[in-house]
Amino acid sequence: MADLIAAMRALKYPEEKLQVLLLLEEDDDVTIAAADAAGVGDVVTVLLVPPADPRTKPKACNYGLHFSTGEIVTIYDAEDHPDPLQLRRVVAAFDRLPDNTACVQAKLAFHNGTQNLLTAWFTADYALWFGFILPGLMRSDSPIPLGGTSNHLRRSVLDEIGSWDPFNVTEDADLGVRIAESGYRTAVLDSTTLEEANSDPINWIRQRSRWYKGYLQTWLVHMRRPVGLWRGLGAVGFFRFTALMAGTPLIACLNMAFWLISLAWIMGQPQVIRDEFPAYVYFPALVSLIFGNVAVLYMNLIACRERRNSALLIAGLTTPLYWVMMSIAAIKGTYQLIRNPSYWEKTFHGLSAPNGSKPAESSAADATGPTR
Amino acid sequence: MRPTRWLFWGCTALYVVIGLYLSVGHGFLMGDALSRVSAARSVLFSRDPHLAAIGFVFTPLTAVVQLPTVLLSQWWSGLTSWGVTGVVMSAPFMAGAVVQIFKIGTDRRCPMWLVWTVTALFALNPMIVFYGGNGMSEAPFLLMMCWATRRLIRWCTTDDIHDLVAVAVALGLAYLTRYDALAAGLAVTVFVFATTLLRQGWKNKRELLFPATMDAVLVALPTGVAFLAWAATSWLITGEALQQFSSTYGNSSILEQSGGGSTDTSYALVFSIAETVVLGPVLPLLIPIVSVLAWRRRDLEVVAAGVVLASVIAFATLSYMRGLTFPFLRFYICALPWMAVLAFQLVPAGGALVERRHGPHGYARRVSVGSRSVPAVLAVALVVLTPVATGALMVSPALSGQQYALESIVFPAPADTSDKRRTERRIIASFSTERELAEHIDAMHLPEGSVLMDTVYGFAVYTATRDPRTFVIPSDQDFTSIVNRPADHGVQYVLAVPNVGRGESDAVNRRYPTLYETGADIATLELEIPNDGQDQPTWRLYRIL
Repeated sequence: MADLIAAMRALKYPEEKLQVLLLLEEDDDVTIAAADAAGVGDVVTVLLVPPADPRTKPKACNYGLHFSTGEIVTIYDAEDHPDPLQLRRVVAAFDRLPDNTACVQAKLAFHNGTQNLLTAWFTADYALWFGFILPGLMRSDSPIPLGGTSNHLRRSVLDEIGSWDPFNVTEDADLGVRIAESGYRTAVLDSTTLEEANSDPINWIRQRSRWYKGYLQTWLVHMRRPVGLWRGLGAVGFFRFTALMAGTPLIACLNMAFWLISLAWIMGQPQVIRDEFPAYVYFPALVSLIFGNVAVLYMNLIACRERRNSALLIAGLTTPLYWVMMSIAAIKGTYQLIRNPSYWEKTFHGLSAPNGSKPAESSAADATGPTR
Repeated sequence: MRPTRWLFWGCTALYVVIGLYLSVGHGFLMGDALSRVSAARSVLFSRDPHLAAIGFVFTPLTAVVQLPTVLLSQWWSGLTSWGVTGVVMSAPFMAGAVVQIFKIGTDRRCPMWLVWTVTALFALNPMIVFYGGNGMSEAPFLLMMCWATRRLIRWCTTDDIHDLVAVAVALGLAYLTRYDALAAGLAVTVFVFATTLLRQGWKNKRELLFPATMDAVLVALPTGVAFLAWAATSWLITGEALQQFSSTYGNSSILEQSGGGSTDTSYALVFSIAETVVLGPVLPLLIPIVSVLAWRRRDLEVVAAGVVLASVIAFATLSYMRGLTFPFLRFYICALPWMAVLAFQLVPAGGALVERRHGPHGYARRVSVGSRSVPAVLAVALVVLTPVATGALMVSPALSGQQYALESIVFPAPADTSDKRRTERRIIASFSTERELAEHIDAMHLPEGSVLMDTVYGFAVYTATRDPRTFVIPSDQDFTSIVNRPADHGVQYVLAVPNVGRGESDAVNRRYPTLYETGADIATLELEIPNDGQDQPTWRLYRIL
């Protein structure tokens, strides 16, 4: 709570134009008590979200949106450390960018990248995604899955195209697609919000499996009307949407199968595999295996260097182990999509606290705020 | 059209024309070039077409690049028999190297007349012209080395990741062209590590090693991956990781079989220096002058160029001194671009570079004060006669064993019957006997898989035949069982070479050591074909009993 207060106090923005809402679940007594004890009320307005299904972050965000008064709505997670000038930069960016810009996404990075190998992988992952891939996608006019936090939205656009889908577990990705589909654009802002990277493998898998599930969910939701989607996004945008939303989780699942096939091939060269991989499949596969994997690993290293974070070298070189965890998360997420589509895998935060304080369970809705 | 386009296409056309004049016009072919063509042909048109037939003794780029043109040889086998696919491969690569030299000059902001003069002297150097048109791996190798040099020079100023990655990719591709690139890869990695480390300073101790290590890893990774992937693929397919060193077809074995390696270390050193001077006659002057200037100007770019190009020359020298390789002039070919780059570097660097993204240690290059035309004139005065000097020394059998026969093409003297001229004519006639032999076998209209031979000498037959499927060659996956029981598998003839020298590595000789002399009780002599070529074997065609 002290971190939250400090982060909100640090924001440099005219007070009379800033409204910060802290969304807490009404039955989350522990967190409410902690907020009261810390005196959060001095900095933000605490808003209690009625305890009703679906108990997801997007539902809470929608609830919060009713009480917000600003022209620009921003989502931050409670544990974020946004760049203090970020809000001003966003306003400047909206002024400068074309009128059809619906959303400005800030870059995300982690403050605990050196805590352990997992947080280092996660940081390298984000360095590539927010530093290079998202800006590239932005230039290409394709749908951008928003980053969950630090996305700054025009209120008027939200009113027009609808806010968050309360049943979607990656509501940010869903909203990003809806923005593109409605002819609006998303821009990436060169201002960084520091988040806490997940430092526990089980916790990480829960979080990542939710993301994969949400991506697939988003793809399924928008593919209900494929023709309309095609018209909205265009052929290339449609392809990119599918590659990103369905491709990311499905390929992560398939990876496991292909790794096991490769392993079996190296161990015993079984005839079944020999039959399934004639030369015209085998050699392209071999090229993909070597050049594809190395290219991604190489890009990770480049991203770390370019973000001036060369200390992630070892994480970059061992990324393939991180891919194994991604694959496990993808399989879990896909399975859960079938069994329990709107279940929100909660992510525990506060694991990086240096004083060893007990991890706090974040509520499904962390914080929406500041709205302007 | 931009000047570099003119330069590229002009040089390509020049090298293709000269290459065709030498190969199709005079039949002067390089064995190593033709054997790459043969490897590419066996991938596509052997009895058992498969990519692994490309072979693992040499790294594959030179042959792989020829696959599309070799594909056309099914309609005109002249493409392979005259090594035309090789000419068409090496010409654009060498033209690319010329363009890189040009760009090194413009990057340094040398006066344009100097850039054009040095580029032209490089492009028209007889060694460059010959290797631009003869289908050898030197052309792609030189392109990669010049590209790596140019980008490493840029990186010294920009610290731009794009430059560093380009160096890395060029070195990785260079490894896939020639093994010598490993030396450059190692030297560049050390240089990049040391440079970033020194630039980082001691201000942040915890971070100290990471940025330098990161840059070193980034520049070394493609070469490392190329090395490991090539070794692993070789191991998966043939059971041997490093065939160049372990296989009976590799350099080590060839040296053992046919000699040619050096035994005297100091002689080898002198020889290597002489070879370097043949290609870069003014290097002994340029190196000290430019080194002193670089020291006074604090010009790291001079070191960068030396690191890439001199490391390859040093590697060739060391391996020849240790008796691991041959006394070939072409192993020192990096002396040529080095001389060109040093000529540019006599002139002080000036002006900003166009870059994609400035790195953490990039800096704006100062516009130098002082005269630029005096050193430019000196540079031209030094290098202007070097192509003539190299050309004159290239006809020496001692210094230029693989090239001196060119003398008889460029300055024909039919009346001259000296030993040297006779040998030159025999060298030029190499592989003509193999072409006739292929024609003879084609005329026999044999069914598929009826002639057994090893491509160690047979590659020239294999490139010349109209129907490669007639031949059973070692890259066929059923080769071992066929060589054990040739008659049972429908083999009618065996093409045999003497079981001496490189013939010892011939797979048929290894299975039947007395075949060439006696027929080894499996075959009877049908035809003996004396060879017109220098150092080429007398062929014997045996009929299987």
